[in-house]
Amino acid sequence: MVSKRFIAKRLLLLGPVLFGVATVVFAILHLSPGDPAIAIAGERASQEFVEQVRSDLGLTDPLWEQYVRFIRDTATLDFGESYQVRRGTAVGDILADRLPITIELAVLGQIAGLLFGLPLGILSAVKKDTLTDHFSRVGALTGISVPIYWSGPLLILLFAQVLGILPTSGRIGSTYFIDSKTGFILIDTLLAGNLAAFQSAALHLVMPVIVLGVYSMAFISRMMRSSMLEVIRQDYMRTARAKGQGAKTTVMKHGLRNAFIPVITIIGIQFGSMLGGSVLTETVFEINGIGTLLVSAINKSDYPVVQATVLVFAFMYTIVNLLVDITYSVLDPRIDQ
Amino acid sequence: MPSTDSAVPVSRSRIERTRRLVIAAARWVAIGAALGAAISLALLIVWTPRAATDTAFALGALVLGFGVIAWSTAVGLGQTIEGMKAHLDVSAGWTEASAREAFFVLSWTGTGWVVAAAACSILLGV
Repeated sequence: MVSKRFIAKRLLLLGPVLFGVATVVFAILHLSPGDPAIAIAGERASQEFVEQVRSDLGLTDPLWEQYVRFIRDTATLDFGESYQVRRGTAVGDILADRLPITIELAVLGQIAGLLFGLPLGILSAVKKDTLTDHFSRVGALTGISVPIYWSGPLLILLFAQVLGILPTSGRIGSTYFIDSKTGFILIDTLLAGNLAAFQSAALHLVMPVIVLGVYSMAFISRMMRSSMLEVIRQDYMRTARAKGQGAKTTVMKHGLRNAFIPVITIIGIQFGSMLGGSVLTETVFEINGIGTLLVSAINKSDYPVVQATVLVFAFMYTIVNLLVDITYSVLDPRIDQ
Repeated sequence: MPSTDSAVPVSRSRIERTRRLVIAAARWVAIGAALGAAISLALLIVWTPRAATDTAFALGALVLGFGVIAWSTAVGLGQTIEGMKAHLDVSAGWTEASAREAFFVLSWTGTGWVVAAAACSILLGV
């Protein structure tokens, strides 16, 4: 079982990680071109007005003072107010609205990746060097190689434009009005008891989830294949077969759990790719999650929103990896933390 | 008293290790401070004191932030990454310990750098 010391150590590391991320984001924002004061005041505003806006935002102070203020506010979870995206609204409130949308997408993408990647990897390993294995390996390689900004529009073209069976963008049909209780559209439509709205929301999620899931599936199936091939060669697998156990039962009962351990690690590390992928996916499918919020905030030099969004991404990534490590040691109690 | 005999070297080695870490950190902070001051002054040739010290500070913050993130990752995920590399047979001599050491250097250099840039900003009356 996982020791409390291990969990405490990982939770303690959360502090330096978030401090580092906050520092890097602060530095990059201040090194990159773009002036939030001009973005707010407008290109045609007078120099005096721009200076006034800059002073109001606290951008006239030396950078080290701004940095100290920023780190102090972030430590108390005060991310300030949005400059531009939703001017004057607390960044925490904006994130609370948008975060469930991205989490829903990333989790469904990861589930899709696991549901298809695991069987494909096992099948590929069990049927090594057959046509099934070759197809699966080529499929995995294609899935890893195809970028989201290419596969997304291609799916829209096929399923929405040519076949007309799936909606192109958004989260739900424009005829449905669902009160947001949890922020997760599938759960909200179910809570509202509106099955037609649920169906519409599910159809809207199909393409974004496929786009995100394909990459995950490809990576997981590749890892599962190599891990399963290693496990299949073990003595205990041979012994189980020699005792008369069927091939399918041996693989599922003795092989899967052991082969799954390295795959679990990959899932945690890959969650970062899912979050990064959600930025592109949300942009392609016009979903108002954290990804589109980040892109919009960067374009408008909205420093508080960019900083808070990146910190939330880093926090989620670290927590997911902690959960993965806990799962890892539960699956294999021999692992010394 | 065997228990006391064995406890003393452990405690001594821990103190010695901490001492070495503090000395190494101080050395890299000093090097970082020299770098930060040199860059702030060099940028003064082409920019205003405000722009020069702000840019030097932001560059130092970049080094510090990157160093801290990478150090924490090496401590938290180092063994996992090492294991994964070995499992995939793509290990190229990367180890958790060497990564931790490298990012320790980067973190403390960055710290010295930002402190020196901030000090230059104050001294120049920005």
